[in-house]
Amino acid sequence: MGVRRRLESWLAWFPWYRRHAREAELKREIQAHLDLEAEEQKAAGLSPDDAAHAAHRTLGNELRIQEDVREVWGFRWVEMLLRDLGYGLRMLRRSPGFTAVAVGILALGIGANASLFSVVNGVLLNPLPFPHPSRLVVFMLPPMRQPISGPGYTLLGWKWLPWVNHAHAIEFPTAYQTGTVNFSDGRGLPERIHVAEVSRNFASLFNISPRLGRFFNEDRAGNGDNHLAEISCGLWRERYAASPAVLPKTIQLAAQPYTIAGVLPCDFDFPSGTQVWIPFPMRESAEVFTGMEFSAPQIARLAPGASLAQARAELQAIEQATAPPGTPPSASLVELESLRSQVVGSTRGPVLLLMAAVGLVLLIACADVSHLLLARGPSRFQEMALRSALGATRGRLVRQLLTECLLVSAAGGGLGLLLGWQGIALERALAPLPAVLSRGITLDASVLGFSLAVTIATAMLSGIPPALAVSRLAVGGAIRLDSPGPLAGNRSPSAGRFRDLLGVTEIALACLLATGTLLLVHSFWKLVHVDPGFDSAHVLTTEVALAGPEYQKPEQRLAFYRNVLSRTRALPGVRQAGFASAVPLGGQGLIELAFAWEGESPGALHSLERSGAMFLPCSSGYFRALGIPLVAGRDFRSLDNAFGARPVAIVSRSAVQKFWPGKNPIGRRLRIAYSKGTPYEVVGVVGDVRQFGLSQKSPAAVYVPLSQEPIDDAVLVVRTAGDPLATASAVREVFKQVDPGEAVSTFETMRQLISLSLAQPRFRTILLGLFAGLAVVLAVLGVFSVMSHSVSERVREIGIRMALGAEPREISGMVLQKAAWLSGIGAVLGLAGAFALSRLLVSLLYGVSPLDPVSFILAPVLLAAVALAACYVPARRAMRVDPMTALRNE
Amino acid sequence: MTLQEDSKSRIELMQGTLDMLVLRTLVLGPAHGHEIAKHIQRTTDDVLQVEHGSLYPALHRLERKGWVASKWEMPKGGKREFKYYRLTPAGKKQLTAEHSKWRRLVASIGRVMEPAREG
Repeated sequence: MGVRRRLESWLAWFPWYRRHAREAELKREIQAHLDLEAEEQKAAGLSPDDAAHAAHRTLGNELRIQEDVREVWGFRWVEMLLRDLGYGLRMLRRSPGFTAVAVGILALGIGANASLFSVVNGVLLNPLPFPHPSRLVVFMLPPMRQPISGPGYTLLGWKWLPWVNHAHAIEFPTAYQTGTVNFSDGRGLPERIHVAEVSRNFASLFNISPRLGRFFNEDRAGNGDNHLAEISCGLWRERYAASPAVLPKTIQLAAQPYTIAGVLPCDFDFPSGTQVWIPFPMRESAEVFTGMEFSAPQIARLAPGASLAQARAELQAIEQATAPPGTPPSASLVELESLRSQVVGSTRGPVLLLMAAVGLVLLIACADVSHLLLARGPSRFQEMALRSALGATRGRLVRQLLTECLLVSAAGGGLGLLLGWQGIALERALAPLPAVLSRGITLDASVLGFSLAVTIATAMLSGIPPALAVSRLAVGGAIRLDSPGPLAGNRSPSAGRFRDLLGVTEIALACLLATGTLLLVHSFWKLVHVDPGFDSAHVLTTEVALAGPEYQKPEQRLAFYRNVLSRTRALPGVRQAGFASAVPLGGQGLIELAFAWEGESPGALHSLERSGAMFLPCSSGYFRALGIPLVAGRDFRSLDNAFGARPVAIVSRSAVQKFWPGKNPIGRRLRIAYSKGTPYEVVGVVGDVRQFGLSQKSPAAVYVPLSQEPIDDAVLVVRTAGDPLATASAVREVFKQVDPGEAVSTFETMRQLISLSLAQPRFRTILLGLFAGLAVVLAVLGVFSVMSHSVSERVREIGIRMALGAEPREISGMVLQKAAWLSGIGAVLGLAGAFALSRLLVSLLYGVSPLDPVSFILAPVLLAAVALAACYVPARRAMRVDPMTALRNE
Repeated sequence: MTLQEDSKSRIELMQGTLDMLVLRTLVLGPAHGHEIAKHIQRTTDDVLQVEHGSLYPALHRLERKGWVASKWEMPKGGKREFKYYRLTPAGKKQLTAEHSKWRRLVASIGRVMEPAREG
């Protein structure tokens, strides 16, 4: 077959291709047939006229043949569709009220789904903008079980590297570590920026080709002395006006000189938010980071053909092989998971929950549109019956009604996409998600495709039942041109039942959603009212990092802290101030160490593996500045903080529970497991603090004076009399006085930190609340329309009842009773659903049982109350039925 | 298509049977619609009379499926052009398949209706 023939035969599938030529050809073909046949008949002895007639008889109905052939070609289908579309448009234009309401409802439903699907798509389905994201894995190398020596615990996990580098199941293992350091390029004030130390392989792992220059690991990998840096595209534009002359420039990071080797591509952002990447092994200088970390996260790519389980098994084998002799055998500490699941992590549950919620909202919206279509049934009935009498089959009627419905949902879908587009912008701006995730939330092809599918599904779901109902009545129904009113005489009990069923379903779905939402609201309320263990009012915090040669020695750092503290405490409006390695909910600087402690027999130190506690060096004044109550013993004194002071410690209540349950801990000793130093003597007990988040349990904590652990990265905590941010500039001035070269991070109040830690639950609760509100409104609209209909249909019955002496109150009672039944059954079904599904919410709830009675009682009661209130309108209408008019109409 | 003898015993032939007959007719060589109709009529001794009209939708359907191809041609010594249909290789394959299906069908119906023959 030649190309042209092939193209022709392919084009022939399009009904419009050469349409007129095809029609003419068919005519000619049939004419030839008729002529031949007539000739034969003539030969058999018929007159020319009779022969022609006979030929027509043997052929059959010529028009019908043409129709049939056209159907083979596919014209009819297209023609009918176009006709239905045109007709549907006219019908919709004629009832603008119905169209507006239906389109509006569907736009809300589809818009909510589109915008939320963009989150599912960006966050859950395609979270990582890297090549082969599903092959990336992360793992933590647990601390080597080896004695810790001296200050600045070295990264013992690094002993693993030679082994990991030769693992078979993974390739390009890369360590990375993030932090904030002082940055200066010789112009202006030093700045705190986000730095990532990355080990060799980083560029190969992510397949990075720098936008400018080269990646440092490409040649001199792993040499601790090479001070090269990569800068982010953002920093390049901000500080260097995107100038290519940036390359040989030198920058200062934590008082160390680095030469800029390259600028990374603008779309590369890992670890999220990083502005400068520097080579990892620089532990010897120990200046950039505090050196308190035990191990850094590792990221790698699964080797071709290797599975997650194989990689995990191999790492565990390495762990066993590298354990130092005498290590007590214990469960493996290696944790390896896919980068995707780690990044997506805790956002998965809430996102799926919200998606399910908008799905329910859309179902309710569909039911509402079904109600509206059913409501139009009577007015369409005459038309349908007429069409049916003129020969339209039921399938034809259904198709026409569905086309109209498709038009409505297409308009709804279009409008919904506009809404969704706005929603996506809002989500990107408001969702408390890491930047790497929120960037993926866009209106892309898959979101468009999803919206299209949802639109079609919506049309089918909301359109098919009413179309079937109306067409069933219409086919063979009586045409009564005299009475275009409601189809009282033709009222089908099954249609009424179907409407009731829709109403009940809507209430059930709304009740399900409302119950879940109230659970989350209740849980959020509990979370807000949880006692964090400190007093968050009037507390200012800021972070400082001591780098550079003038802070090499511990006593130099201690002097800095002492200076800042005494000057800050002297400021007007400052009540107390203290330094610590971390603040609660700050998310940084917290480390967990294994401890050995003195038990019953004095002198013997228990050493249980993994009996960890938070290790928090802090100055005097820290507890009072944060309002952490002292429960027993004494607070740190300034003497404790002097260099070379006797090692003391203050432990938290849960640490007492852990180490000396039921005993008095004062005077007992403990030390960091494996360390050789003098044990700390416990001098006091403080209350528990929610360190990780308001919903997380308070960890056991061991506080030691700064003199014992002269950290170089610390947080200043200031308790003020008035607005804490008002003293911020004075505190900044204090730092400048003590050391003009030292940069502090932005000032944050503890209130802000608390609010930040509540951002995720707040966001999902508000969003779910919005959806549940929408669901309730739509469901109530559904019940309202059921009742309005039922009143319209029963006008005659009501008239008779009233004529027989029924009181208006009884009539409205009758209507409300039915509404109460519908909402009651719906609410019970919804509660049953909530009961069955509530355990899925467990991970999102805090302090509230998934079967929380408050939510399970409040949701249906509120919903039923709103539904009944809405049905008061049709009930009043029923009350006002004039028996005379009602009866006369019949 | 009807059994002409007795209008009471009219049966509807199964869907596709006409297609099979048309394909079988075209095995003998290209033919136009009228010839096909006449051929079926003649070979069945007028038992099966094709309602000529039903032939054309069938022919166009077969052409669309690629089982037959068509061309306007002048017959030898003729005065006017006719649209001649001929079997394509795909059509031949289809005919073989239809034929064997039909044989099996007839054989199995025969076994039910006249079990004595089985011996």
